[in-house]
Amino acid sequence: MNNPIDQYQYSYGSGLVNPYSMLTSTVSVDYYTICRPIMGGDIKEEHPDFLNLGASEGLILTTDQRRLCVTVVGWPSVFLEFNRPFVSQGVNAYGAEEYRWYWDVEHPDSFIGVQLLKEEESETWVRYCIVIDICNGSPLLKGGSFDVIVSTGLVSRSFEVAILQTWMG
Amino acid sequence: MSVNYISSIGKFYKEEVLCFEFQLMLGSEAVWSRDYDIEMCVYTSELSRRLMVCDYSAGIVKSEFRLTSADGCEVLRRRNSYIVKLSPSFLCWLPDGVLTFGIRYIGERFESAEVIKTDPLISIRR
Repeated sequence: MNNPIDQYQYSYGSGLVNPYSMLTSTVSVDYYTICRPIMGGDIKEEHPDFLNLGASEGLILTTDQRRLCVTVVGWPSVFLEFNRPFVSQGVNAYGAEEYRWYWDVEHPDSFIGVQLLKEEESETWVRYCIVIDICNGSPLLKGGSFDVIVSTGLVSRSFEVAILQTWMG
Repeated sequence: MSVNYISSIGKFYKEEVLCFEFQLMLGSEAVWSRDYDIEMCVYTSELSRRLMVCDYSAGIVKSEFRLTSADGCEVLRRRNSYIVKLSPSFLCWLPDGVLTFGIRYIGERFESAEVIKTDPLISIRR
């Protein structure tokens, strides 16, 4: 059974504010806090975020070249964002996080795949490989470009991938 | 005891330095600690003195509305959590009771508050 005093603390919206509380609160049910005591004052130093990209310039990928790899070393972990919305995201058979989208809606048998694979990690860095694939390598794929944003959440880097249409008809 | 509290040995003493790590979650994701200011009110019973622990390093609360922290406390921000360090000079003002944190988060796009009850805070000399 809930302590009614706690309910006062939670009931700001309905006007039941605990008169002894110095807080006025607006509760959002989506948010919650996890609290744990740190015994013995054992507070470990936190390594600052960093990111080093193997490619800082634009990358050019032709439809017959099909694949490019970019090495990323960072801390503590990285994720990818794009300036174009991707169609699907998941973890593939190699354990890599894979994003894909269908570049040319007229040819859904071809898509651009971007994989983020963790290769190696230590206590202070993690190395990833970003693999950009033109899957099925259709010569019908249109050219274009997109930005890949690599981020730890606190620091980020980006690079542009340009897909060249090499099929001349 | 709060359901969000991970238990310690069962009691805290006012004569020791107490450290707690707090992590604000949104669903299964931790919220970046740089995205919110913190106002925490520490007390041990409904009628006990309320001691404030505040950290405005996210810069969301305007300076004229900021509250002052009591002496003897410290907030250390981490990437997606923060640590509150309470020293005996802070804890000595609280009567015996269940150490409770009323926490208010003020973000750019959200505001949330909750109460976390932990374990009893007592004096080792009693």
